[in-house]
Amino acid sequence: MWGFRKNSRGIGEDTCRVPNREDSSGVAVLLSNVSTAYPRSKNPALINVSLEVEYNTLTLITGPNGAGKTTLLELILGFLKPLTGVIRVLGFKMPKDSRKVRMLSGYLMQDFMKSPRETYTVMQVVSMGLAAYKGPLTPLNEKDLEAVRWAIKAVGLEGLEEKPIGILSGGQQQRAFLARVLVRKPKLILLDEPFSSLDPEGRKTISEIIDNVRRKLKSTVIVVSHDISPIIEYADKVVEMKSGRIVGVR
Amino acid sequence: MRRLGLLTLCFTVAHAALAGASVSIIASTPPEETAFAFSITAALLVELLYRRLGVEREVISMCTFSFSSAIAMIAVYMAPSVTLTSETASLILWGSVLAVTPAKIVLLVFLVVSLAVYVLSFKLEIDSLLFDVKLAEAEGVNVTLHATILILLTAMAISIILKLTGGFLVFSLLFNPVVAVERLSYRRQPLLGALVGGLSGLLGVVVSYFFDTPVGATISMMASIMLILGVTSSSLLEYHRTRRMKTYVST
Ligand SMILES: Nc1ncnc2c1ncn2[C@@H]1O[C@H](COP(=O)(O)OP(=O)(O)OP(=O)(O)O)[C@@H](O)[C@H]1O
Ligand SMILES: [Mg+2]
Repeated sequence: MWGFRKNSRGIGEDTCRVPNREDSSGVAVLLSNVSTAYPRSKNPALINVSLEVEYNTLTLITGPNGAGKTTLLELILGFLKPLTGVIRVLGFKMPKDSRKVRMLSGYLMQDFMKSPRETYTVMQVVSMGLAAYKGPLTPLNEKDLEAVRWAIKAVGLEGLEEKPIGILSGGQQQRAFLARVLVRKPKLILLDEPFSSLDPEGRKTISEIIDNVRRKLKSTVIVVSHDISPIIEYADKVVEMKSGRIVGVR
Repeated sequence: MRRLGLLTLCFTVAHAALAGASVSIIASTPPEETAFAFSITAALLVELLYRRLGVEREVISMCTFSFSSAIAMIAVYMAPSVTLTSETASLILWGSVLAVTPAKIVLLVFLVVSLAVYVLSFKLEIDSLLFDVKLAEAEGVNVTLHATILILLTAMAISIILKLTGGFLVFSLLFNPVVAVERLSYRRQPLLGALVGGLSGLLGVVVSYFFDTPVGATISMMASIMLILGVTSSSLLEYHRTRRMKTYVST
């Protein structure tokens, strides 16, 4: 079930790791009246946020620094607990079922840069995306490796497989982490500022790849970005946030 | 270990083991077992407080560390002077090759083997954890499980090595090799680290035998020399690389 067969665009034809497990609600991510705060922080980071993200859609979240965009993603993955309100993700109640949701998700973190002393190679770092699916004493098989190589190629890092990740440029590192997301074939894809280190052309091609993968895998994508122009043509919904609240949905 | 932010935790575990061993002098309990019990308690305490209260591991580690050092010191002072000058006490504090019994070697080998089996069978998960804990956790890797196993194995190893190198020096043996190797090359750190560690251990034992110096201190000195060698040779290599680059650019 692992290999991405290559078609004309190089995107695997398989669907995600779990057959469409659409719960009756038809909503992949549901937040209703959710507020949350970071530990030891005086002010809430999110205030009464309600949001519905349907399955197989691409949602953009935008807003100024400190609006609460990253907080929203961390909440969806169960890294933060809601003070009030209800969160359901892929049919699971959060944060109770965090590990189940995390297994089905791929997360590109905003703060991804590694120090130049980091020695794991691109190939190793992307392979780590499969760690949670591998039992003890089951090394990566040929199909896994093929999937890893495919993901690296898809993000345009072919030829850099054996380079230590720390000595890649910022944009190259960002692409490597995106490859790590893709290799997991996630049902839910969360990308925090995926364009922040990319050149204009890179933003276009990566947007295209994200859209392609989403269609092929039938996954649900949430992209947080200040600059939504490269990807807006593929978006089903744009959510605008400010000061911990959702201030607009288009 | 270093990358997991467990450096301070290991520090704590090592010193808790020392505290345990020191307490065993007064309480006249078996030193290894007491050391092990103390180090496990310290490690669990740190994890528990971290999970339940969200206090940073570093903060709790440092607290526990100071606390255990204090216990160790108090225990040493409280011990009757007769006991303190005795074989056991100096053994725990400064170490001795004589402490190596066949049983202990078997135990150590068993530990190394189980560590190897564990690392080999969960290689991808452990790599993922060492690379980026947050990301590993976000991807559903069982961080708690693996952190616990790593801490348990460390605690056991420290409790056993304690008698060989002595409490004050166990730490330099654990970390100098890793740092030395890290300066020198990119890859294969764990393996090379263990190799360098083993080498300094061997050298230390030999040197201490011939010069009749305390074995723990000698091993640590060897490890430090390795570290210095590693750092200087890496700077030398870097110097040559730059020179070559300069000639390359200017032609
Ligand atoms: N770890 C933390 N501890 C305490 N407060 C935090 C933490 N992380 C974020 N905050 C606070 O929560 C609020 C929302 O932060 P968040 O990171 O979600 O913003 P953002 O929309 O992602 O901003 P940016 O565009 O800069 O990435 C901010 O006021 C911030 O100060
Ligand atoms: Mg952010």
